[in-house]
Amino acid sequence: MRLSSDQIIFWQYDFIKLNGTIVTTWVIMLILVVGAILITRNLTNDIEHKRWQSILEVIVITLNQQIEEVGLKRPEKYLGFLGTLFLFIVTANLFAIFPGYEPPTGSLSTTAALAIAVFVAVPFYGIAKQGLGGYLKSYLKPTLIMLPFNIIGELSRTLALAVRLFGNMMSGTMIVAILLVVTPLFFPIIMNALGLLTGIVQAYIFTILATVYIAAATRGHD
Amino acid sequence: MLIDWFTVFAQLVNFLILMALLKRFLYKPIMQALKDREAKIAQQLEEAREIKAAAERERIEYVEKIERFERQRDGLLKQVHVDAAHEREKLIKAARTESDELRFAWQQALQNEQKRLNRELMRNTREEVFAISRKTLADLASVSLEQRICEVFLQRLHALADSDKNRLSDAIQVSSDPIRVRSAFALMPEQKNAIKQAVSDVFKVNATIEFDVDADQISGIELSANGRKLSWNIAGYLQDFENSIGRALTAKTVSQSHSGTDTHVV
Repeated sequence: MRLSSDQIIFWQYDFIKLNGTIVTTWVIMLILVVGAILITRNLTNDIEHKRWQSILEVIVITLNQQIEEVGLKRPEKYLGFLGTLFLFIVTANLFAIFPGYEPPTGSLSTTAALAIAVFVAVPFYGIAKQGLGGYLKSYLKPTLIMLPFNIIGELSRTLALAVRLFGNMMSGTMIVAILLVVTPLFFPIIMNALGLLTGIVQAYIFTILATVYIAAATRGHD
Repeated sequence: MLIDWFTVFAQLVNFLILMALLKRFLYKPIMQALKDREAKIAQQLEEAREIKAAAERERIEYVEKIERFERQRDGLLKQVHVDAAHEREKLIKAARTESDELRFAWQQALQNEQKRLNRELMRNTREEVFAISRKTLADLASVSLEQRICEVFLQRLHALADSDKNRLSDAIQVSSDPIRVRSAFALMPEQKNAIKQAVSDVFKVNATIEFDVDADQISGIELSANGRKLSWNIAGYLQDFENSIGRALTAKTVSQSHSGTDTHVV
């Protein structure tokens, strides 16, 4: 039984391989980027504007507001990272509506990559805000004894991020696949619908947690 | 193995590329458009506020203007009413004055006409009476009227009351001037002699008498000395007649003038 789309290999040369996860990710990237280009090509700053522009504006404004609500005072600085995180995960998860599709987020490699990105982004933004010394000092709080626990916390939460998303998406796909075998009618549809909801919720949780980590790292200055 | 490290790396790179592309093609233009729109809306709001403020200023200005115009209009209307009342009084006064003048002139003309008529009537009457008397006397007594007048005068002279006689006598005696006898017609010599004789008999004086012809002595004779006079003519009768005619005409004029005035007022 296949657990991940990583196992679908299209092309391989030594350790370099073109598997299902990468190809699906490219397709999603293509759709997102081409969609963005098509919609933002004819942007207008008039009070009356096109429907697609309104949809994109709503998405971007909502992301901005969510980031701000968590506690980051200048959300547009973090929008590039956090927004992309959310849009990629949500798109990857929602495409599960297409039969035969396997979400790249159902691959631990992808979720690990995203978790590593967050793992890197947190100190990046923290240092950018507080400076290297200021950021490193946050590991010594409240006391020096807490340093190893802080480091362990940093690593474990990254792992938790990766596994949480992977587990949820993989399980969703797996359950649908298993149910298709057991009860081919109706029930998989309900589970699929539930899977869509889970996908959105997971995308939201992943992004919000990343935001919270970044907010914690940059707090004190904003 | 659940994690394929090459895939992890590839996905990391993919994610960074996607982040860069979305930043370039999605967030940046959308945020820019939002910012531009906010600026535009802010600018339009500012313009709207300015326009509203200007409109409010103009409204206040026009309200003040309207109030001012109304006050001016009220003032002018009051002034016009006052002026019209004055003008009306003036016109009524002028009309009254004019009407009074016209009525006065009319009454004056009427009176003049009445006087003229009276005079005409008197003259005609005198002439008629004179003619009738003359004709009557001539027809009846076959003597001229003058002679009869002379006889009447002489009878009067003789029949004077004593008091009158004395006053006239005194006047004749005091006067150095001759006694004057005026008649409307030239007296015949025998008539003159008869008068001389009668004067001499009545006043017991032998005075000089001068005879004049005076047309005003209507069918009569007048004797005068030192301001006193004795006369007989038909002018007395005519005067009575004239007075009675005059009274009748006056009564008629007054009633006409009253009715005329009433008519004028209506």
